[in-house]
Amino acid sequence: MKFTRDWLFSHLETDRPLAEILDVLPMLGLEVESVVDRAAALTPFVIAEVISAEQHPNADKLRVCMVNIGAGGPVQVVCGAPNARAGMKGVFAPVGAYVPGIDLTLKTGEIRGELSNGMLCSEREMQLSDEHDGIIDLAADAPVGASFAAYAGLDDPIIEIAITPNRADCLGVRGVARDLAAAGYGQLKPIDTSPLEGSFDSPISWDLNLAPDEAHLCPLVSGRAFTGLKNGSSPAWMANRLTAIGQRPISALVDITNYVMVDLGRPLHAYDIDKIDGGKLIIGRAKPGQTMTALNEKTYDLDEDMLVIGDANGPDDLAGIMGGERSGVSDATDKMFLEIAIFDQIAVATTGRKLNIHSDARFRFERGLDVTSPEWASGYVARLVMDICGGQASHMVIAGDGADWTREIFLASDKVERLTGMIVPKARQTKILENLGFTVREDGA
Amino acid sequence: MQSLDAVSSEIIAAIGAADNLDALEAIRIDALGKKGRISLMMRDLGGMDAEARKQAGQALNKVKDEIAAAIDAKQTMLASAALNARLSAERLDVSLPSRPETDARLHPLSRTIEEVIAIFAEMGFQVAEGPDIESDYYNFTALNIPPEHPARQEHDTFYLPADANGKRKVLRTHTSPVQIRTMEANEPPIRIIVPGRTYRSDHDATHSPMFHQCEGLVIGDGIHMGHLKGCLIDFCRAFFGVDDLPVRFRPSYFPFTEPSAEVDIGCTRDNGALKIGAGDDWLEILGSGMVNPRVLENCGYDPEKYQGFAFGMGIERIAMLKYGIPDLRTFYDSDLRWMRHYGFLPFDAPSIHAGLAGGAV
Repeated sequence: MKFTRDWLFSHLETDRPLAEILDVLPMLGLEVESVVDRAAALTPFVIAEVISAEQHPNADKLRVCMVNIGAGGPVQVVCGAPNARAGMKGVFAPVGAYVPGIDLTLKTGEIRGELSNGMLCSEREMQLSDEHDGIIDLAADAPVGASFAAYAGLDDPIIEIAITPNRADCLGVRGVARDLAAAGYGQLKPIDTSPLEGSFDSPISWDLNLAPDEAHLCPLVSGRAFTGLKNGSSPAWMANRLTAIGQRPISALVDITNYVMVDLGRPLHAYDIDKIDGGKLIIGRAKPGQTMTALNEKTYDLDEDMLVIGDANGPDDLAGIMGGERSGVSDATDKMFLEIAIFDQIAVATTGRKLNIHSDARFRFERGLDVTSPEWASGYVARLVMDICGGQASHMVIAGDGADWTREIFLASDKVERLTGMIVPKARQTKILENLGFTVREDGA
Repeated sequence: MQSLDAVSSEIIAAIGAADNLDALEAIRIDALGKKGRISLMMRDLGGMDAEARKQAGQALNKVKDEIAAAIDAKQTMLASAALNARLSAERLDVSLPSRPETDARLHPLSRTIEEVIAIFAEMGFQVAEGPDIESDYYNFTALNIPPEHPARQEHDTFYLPADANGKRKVLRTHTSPVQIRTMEANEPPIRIIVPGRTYRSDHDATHSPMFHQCEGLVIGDGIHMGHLKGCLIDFCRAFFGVDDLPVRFRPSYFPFTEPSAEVDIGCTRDNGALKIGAGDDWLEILGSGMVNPRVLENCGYDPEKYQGFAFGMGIERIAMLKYGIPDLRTFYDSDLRWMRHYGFLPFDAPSIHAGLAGGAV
């Protein structure tokens, strides 16, 4: 799983440097696979302002620019970009800087008789994208002389960890932070999971169409309707984090579902209310012969072993695996119904394998989710949606009796020494368990 | 009866005609042997009167000496002729170049397995083996991998067609089923290693559908993680021949052990070159852990009484690391040039005292 340093620290209050965190993660069973510091290669690149851009006397396609780089006097640069103009803010690489996109260390040069002391860069020259139509054109308020990497949010290293099948709790950034806090590497920052009282009744309700002996297939599902939404682009902080972990920002509503899945390890599904027929979402087994087209634009043949969600028009969601194309949100969506569900791990795994669909949602569902999350995540996510897209939220609609998540585990505290050969005093064992959120009681008490 | 002269000249003539040593010997026996013609005549002397005996005796002795001398002379001649014939037949041109060398080479995987066995044999381990075609039970269920467990998906398994009962056998995805087979058939203490072939439906630059693993299992009374660490640290240092090799145990997860640890060794990466030894980086080479009590129960052991550890490693991986073989696929190419480069002399058997580094030739 991928996340960035700042993303992790948004959940973890700590004064430990990243290097220490990276050293301890493997000791918590979270193997660090890679750490990519995108800023390292961009250290010499600063934000600069083009003071003047004059036609090169000896070349039609070149301009001689005077550039303010914040420190010292203006620097003369010969630039071939069509968009170079006086007053623009761009990214400057000084003499001595290594420019990764052209694999060259800059030297003072003379281009057709005019001195050039550096370079104004395109995104491709910094290997940020394939964009090379012109030099980077920054916002007017970009601070001249400042590090470009910091300005662009690239000074936030990307960390990738491997998650073993037993660590579903760390398939969200918050879970990783919780583990670090339990290990004594900081405090878990609180998030607001209080219930959110909606302002109207949801026009969509749940219909759990499962036999009594199959209630475990969907023990709990919550939903909430939103109206008056504005589904534009997601905010820069969210888009930057998703981009950093290799996800393409699509629209605010889609990005929120993807973001929460990685942030809290909690997959969500968003329906466009206008595309739901009949006011009810039915959760149950598919009927043989039914088909549905999923968000990956592929059409799947369903059978009665598959758990699906649908409306009067038939199934349009493969429970825990992938939503359907027909009822999904689009850029035009202003009324959304948001599903937060628990599905049976084996059912999700079996269906996913049968249809050969590998999705981030399936990965998390089949490893197991926090079975209480449909309730506590509902308010948290509703606030996030309204912060970003405005609008109003309905009351929560919930179905299912929930699953019993409490377990009593007998710990023979002498077993620790017997198995490991190390003496861990009972008080320390208790403390570790309590840090992890266990309630410890003496046998018989 | 022939006259002595006639006999004598007949024999002398035969000697002259003999063209090899065997024929000459036959003539000698016929004339001078115990029952030879001359010897028989000598015997007849006893029946003569003194005067006749004296005369006949002298004549006989003379003939006998003549024949013996003739045989000797002929013998020397024939022996010398035979020697000459042999010398000319076995003539050798010592100035010719030597013939091309055709020594066979031992495959680096065989060599690596022998090295692993040598190290663990020194620690008192025995080699155990099991079938490549396994039942679902031994490969998964007995090892605490239930039918729908995510860990089962990570093994992209080769299933065989179902039998009459609808059961499908598998090509074993790891050598771990031999743990179960060994525990079922034996009482503790157990100390085995299991080198062998394993199969997964995976084929790319870093995965082969058939590869080799070596499993280890130690079960006894009071065996704990400290023993696991000591055993594997010793192994890593002996195998790579680095006495101060840093070894790190990192918590991990396997269904058949609890707690589990992956084992890393220290290394340095410099410009694409990998050096094993104390350095600023780590390299994963082993999986290990304390045998899960459920696995012990599946084998009929009482987990309150016995415990132990298990470990497993990929033979290809450690061979590539130790002998600097860059590409996994070349192991199975049967390329003679590659074998001559990476192979080992078959008589250079690895042992702790003689050395494990191998005289790579």
